Amino acid sequence: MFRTIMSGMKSLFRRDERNAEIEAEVRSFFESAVEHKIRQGMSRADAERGARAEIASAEMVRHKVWASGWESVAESLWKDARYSVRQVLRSPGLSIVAVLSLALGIGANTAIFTVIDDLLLKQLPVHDPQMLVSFGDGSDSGTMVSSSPGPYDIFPYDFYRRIGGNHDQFEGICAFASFTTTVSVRAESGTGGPATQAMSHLVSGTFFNVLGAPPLMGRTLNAGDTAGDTATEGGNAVAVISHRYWRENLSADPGVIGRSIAINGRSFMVVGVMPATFYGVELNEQSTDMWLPITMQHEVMMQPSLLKPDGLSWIHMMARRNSSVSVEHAQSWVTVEFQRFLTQREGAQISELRRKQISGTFIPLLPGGAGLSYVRSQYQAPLTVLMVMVGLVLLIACANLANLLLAKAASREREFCARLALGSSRGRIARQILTEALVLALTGGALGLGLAFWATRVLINFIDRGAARTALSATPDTRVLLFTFATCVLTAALFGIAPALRSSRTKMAGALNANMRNSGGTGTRSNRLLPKALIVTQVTLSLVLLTVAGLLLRTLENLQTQDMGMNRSNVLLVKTNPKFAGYQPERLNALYDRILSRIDALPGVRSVSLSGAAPLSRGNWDSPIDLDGRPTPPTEDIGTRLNRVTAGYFETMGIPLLRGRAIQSQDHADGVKSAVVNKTFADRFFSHGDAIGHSFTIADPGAAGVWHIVGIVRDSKHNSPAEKPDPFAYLAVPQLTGDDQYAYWLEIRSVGDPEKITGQVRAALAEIDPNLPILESHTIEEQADSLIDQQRFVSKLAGVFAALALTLACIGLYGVMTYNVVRRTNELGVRMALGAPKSGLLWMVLRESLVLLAIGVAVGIPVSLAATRAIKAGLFGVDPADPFTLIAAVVVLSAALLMGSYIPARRATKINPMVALRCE
Amino acid sequence: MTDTSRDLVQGTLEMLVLKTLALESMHGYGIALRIEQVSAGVFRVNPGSLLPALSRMERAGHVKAEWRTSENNRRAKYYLLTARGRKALEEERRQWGRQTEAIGRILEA
Repeated sequence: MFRTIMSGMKSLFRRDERNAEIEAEVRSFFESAVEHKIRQGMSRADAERGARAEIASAEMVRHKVWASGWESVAESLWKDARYSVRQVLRSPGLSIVAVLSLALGIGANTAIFTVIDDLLLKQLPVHDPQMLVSFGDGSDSGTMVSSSPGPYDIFPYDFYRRIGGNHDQFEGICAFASFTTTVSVRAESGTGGPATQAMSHLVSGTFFNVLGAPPLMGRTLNAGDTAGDTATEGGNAVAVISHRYWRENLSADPGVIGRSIAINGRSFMVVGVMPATFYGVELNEQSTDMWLPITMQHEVMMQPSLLKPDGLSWIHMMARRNSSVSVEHAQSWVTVEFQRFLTQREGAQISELRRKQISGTFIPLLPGGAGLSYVRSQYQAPLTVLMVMVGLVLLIACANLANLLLAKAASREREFCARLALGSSRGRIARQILTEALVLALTGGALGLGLAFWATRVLINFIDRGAARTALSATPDTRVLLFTFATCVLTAALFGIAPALRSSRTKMAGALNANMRNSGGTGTRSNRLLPKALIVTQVTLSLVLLTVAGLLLRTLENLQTQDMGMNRSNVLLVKTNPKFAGYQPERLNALYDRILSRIDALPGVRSVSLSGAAPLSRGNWDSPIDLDGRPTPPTEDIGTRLNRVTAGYFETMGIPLLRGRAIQSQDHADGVKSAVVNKTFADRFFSHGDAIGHSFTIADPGAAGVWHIVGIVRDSKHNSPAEKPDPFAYLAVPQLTGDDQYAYWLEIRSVGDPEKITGQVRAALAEIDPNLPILESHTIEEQADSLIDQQRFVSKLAGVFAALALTLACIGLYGVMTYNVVRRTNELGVRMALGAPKSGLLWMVLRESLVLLAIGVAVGIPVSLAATRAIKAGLFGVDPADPFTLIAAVVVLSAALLMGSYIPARRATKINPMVALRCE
Repeated sequence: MTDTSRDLVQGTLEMLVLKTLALESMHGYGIALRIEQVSAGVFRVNPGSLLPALSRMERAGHVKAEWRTSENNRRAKYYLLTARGRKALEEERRQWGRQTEAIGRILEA
């Protein structure tokens, strides 16, 4: 094999030498033959004649020897390619359109595939990622109490301590917080330099070891860093930082190892820097800046310890598989361990119901090599829909190309005949056309790759909401390049095969006849049918894309205009964190009073309030409640969402008060604990009477005490415009204690544009306490928009792709119709000379397009209905078979296509009969 | 020239060349001549098929070629059987034996 390739290469590069050698051998063969014949008694002249007759043509022999190796095939392919490039360049206009539409099609495919590759396919940049398993899918995050049966993916720290040391079932197990924590960092501990915010992730000491991620410098965390057995012992105050953080925030200090940085006021020693490729286990909008020991949770989160034996669930876990233990076996082992853990935690008086619930829990072990990502789970379905759409766009582009090549092949029929007559094989001609298709496809692909690089940046910028740092990368990797190359080849095969087959079937007789119409007038019925079938396909596919895009755009519109239960204009949201400025709970109420009165006094501010969580934000505070102090039967759903607000919240957010009173300034720390509930809360829990005057207790120990319902407000939405309202209780901030007394969000209703008062608010806060950081600031509109990011992503892109499809289909119809008119110039001229009216000719040409359009639409409607059923889950407020959208799609499609065919039809009426009749 | 020269059984040319070269190394014309003589003129190999076949066999490593001076002081390309070629010859011979035997049985049945 190797020898064959090598000697082939040698003869390719030393072509002349090889040919000379073959010639010499043929000559020596000839001379030997002559000599032999002379020895047998022939005269020299006879011998030479005889030998020549035996050899026949020396050139033919030479060619045959040359053709016996693979290199001659390579050479003829190269010749084909060169000829194809010349052919492509011969009609630059058509070729530019062809290459551009391919570039758009292939570029769109590559762009979407790059994002899919980044988000859905890529493995973590660690050692042997396929041996990593994740405990559950990691879709839950935060801190929660959960007891329901079913799959688990979030655990108490205690559970990790119980099984973390096991090395029989796994090579190693690691734990990490199910969320990242923003911390305040000063570069040098002790000094008063400016504080910056950084994204930190709490991880167990085994984290890097289990992942198999070595550091670039220094060391990673090790088991000793989180060895502390209880919360009070804590762990080592050490930090491993990301490459990017090291470069940008610590000026790539080569002596960074051993340096101290102050995190939330506490000194941490930097022990390691990770390589640039490592981004942790979570592929989300913002990448992590530093990894800190999980046992430092109290200091890092500035919250009560979560490491206590009966703590909440808040960690995710991953493990490296032991190759001798099957996944099923390991899974049943962790499930049994988890059930035992839960049972022991319940203590001796475990109820039968609880026991049953526990036996229904399990931990699925899922492939963890790709890490965890909620962005991934959010975008999986939209990206799949988009990938199918761009695939269809590419098909439409292919149909255009096929038509273009068919037309060209028809006009080159004479050339093909000449070649056939001169001894070329039909296969050779087909190969020539396929090579031409490949040249076009590869040129389009190269352009498309450039286009995709740009488009991918736009897409990623959208997905990560413009985050300054992200693990998503627009740079195509080998897989993307292979994908694009495969797409090009497949595309070329798709649009090249029909013209190749057809021209290889060129009939010899007649085609060389000088009287033949010069533009392929001999086309048989079936030959003319193919372009039409392609147009019908394009119409069908365009209709599908338009309908899908229409439905998605209407979904977006419905979501945007959905009543969120509040007044969504002129509200500014500002996030701060009193913890970063060192406020203890007992000083908070005074701070809140100062902030509220100071901001309220600003010109242009109508009202202001503070709250624990921002309105319209994902991930609220959740807890079961008990009504009027009586325990509720466990079968009843008593989960309630909570938020803590100050006086003025409902007024600022424009949430109408239905009955009773709102949270007011009289609800101070020493007063009776007051709560306002939403209508769903009142209706569900007090269906027979008035909720006001009743009270409830909250299971979460942070909101201890009896809360009295003083008012009922309208339902409002929180996580998504499409959600059903849940029971919701608003508690008075000053009446909470400890960590739950912190309010992070300021809501400010302004008279005019809320953006304009941002500067004043910033200044006012700095005046109150210059250490109060402003972490985020945006309008409520922006906040609402962020809830429907992925719908906007898929809807807008679907719209773009549908428009692209429509444009390509129009170009296709225009091309075929123009070609038909040119082909029929002669006939049209005759008709005109015989007195056919212009309008008749116009109609004659248009009718042809109308028929194709009608067939395409007739086929397209049922196909569209099937397609829209498939995306039903992604729709909101619109029926998949919505007639309005379908009709609109048909109208848009028809209008665009008629425009595309009107131009060639007009051209038909402009024909000068005298010129047309002479046109040969 | 008789038509029989064209009727060389498909795929046997390489075997015949290998066999011819097994006795001694030869140049192209020599091989053609030897095959014709040994087959008593039944098989005639023309250079249009012999030389490409030799080129293929050289590629496959069954023969080795070198330019030598021939018996009457001419330069000619001589072909030598390699160890690999010898093995190929044995293999083809076995195959051929099996085939002719089988064909014979069918014809006599």
